[in-house]
Amino acid sequence: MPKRIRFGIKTDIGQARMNNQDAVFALATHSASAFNQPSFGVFVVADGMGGHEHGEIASAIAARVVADHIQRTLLIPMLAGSPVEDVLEILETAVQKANENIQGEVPDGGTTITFAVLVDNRAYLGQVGDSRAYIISGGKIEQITRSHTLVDRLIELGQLTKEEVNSPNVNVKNVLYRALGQGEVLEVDTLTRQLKNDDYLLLCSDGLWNLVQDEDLQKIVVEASNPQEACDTLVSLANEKGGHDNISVIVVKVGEDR
Amino acid sequence: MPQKISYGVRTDIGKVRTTNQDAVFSLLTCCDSFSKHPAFGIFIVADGMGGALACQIIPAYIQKKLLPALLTGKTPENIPDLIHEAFQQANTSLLAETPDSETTAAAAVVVGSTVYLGSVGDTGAFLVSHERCERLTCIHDLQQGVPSYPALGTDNLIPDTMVIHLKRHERLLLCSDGLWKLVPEAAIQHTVTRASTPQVACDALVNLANTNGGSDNVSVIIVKVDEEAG
Repeated sequence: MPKRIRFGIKTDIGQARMNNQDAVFALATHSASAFNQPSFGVFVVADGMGGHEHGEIASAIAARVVADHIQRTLLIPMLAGSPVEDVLEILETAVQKANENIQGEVPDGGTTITFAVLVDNRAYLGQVGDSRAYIISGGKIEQITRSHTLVDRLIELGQLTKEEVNSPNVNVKNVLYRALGQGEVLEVDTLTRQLKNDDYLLLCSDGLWNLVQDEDLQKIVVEASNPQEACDTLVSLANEKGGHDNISVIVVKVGEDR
Repeated sequence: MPQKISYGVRTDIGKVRTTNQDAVFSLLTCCDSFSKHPAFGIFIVADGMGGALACQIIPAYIQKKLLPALLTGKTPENIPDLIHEAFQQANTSLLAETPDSETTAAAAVVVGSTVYLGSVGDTGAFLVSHERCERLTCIHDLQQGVPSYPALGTDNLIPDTMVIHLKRHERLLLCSDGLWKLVPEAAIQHTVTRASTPQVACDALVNLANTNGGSDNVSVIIVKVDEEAG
């Protein structure tokens, strides 16, 4: 039996901002035939920054260029039945292309990007900035991407604890040291993980994870009747908690086709 | 997100056949950003030895031609031509690679709430609502009682194409003849309009075909378009 990749997707302006600078993209295929093709998924969350609409243009370019590159080099060959190697390299190139496009089109705009490609249960991820990817599995939630913020870097270096981050004295919480559109040399984190059947992958902008604790993310996703309901509930909760930023979330579930 | 597409799909070997020669394919995308995007989907049901190949070539061709434009917020005007070309390409490949394997196919490209439908052969396409269950494919053949349907994998292939605007309360249903020959249209309509989701309807229809004998492989895809508030 083929696998089924189900997803929910939602982006919302929030309660405080004048415009939505986030961009989201999702694509999933399913095929059942004598060829036993795998199911594919492509999921992108980008969170733009910059004035004069340049933030939302930057995130839109990032989502478009990354989705376009992945579909040209990965999805269409795979749909046609040819195996594709070096998936992580394709992910990295996609981000570099998006970076070049943003620098050309909106020099003062920038954006984060967190994205995943799924081939059945195998997930490939790319990440720049402070949007996040989580895996929810067996009652646990795990953040699998590294956020490129000063505060996270200080935690990695052991100069700050997670507890200290929540203290009012720490005011560099959301300062990004890495984003698309910020320079010609861009380091992209890539990683790959195997998902178990019925595991969830959650991608979100900081407008969600800043306001909704990890354990609540987990609880809402597993208790929802489907991934779209999970996304709708998560966005509502972030808005109830103030919605001081744009909120974007994609919830993906991979499992048996039943 | 102004518009969303959701769908259900199910294929089953039936009760009599030893292999499932039906093939189904679905692709669904949703994009929301500064450049406005319509939701986009490709849905195919094919019945025959060449169905698996058709389910590779048709979506790959359409995807390659359409997604770059849709990602920049544009909807190309020539989608029926693209479907036509995709069918021709599948036909050419079938003739070249597996000359003995023909297949029927119905392919729906959904952009926003517009359905672009292409079909060859006796794969069924229906527009289902509380008011009606309207057959969209091979109507003439049925009226004339001539079961000489064309198929992919034969010479001089010309697929039928049409454009439909799918309303919120309507469902697009694609199915192999293993469904529509065994389940009367009234039962299809009853099942689809009462099911809570397209997937529930697909599962129920396959069960119904199997209850009615399951003499052939049975495949069904049901598509609905939601308008999201705000």
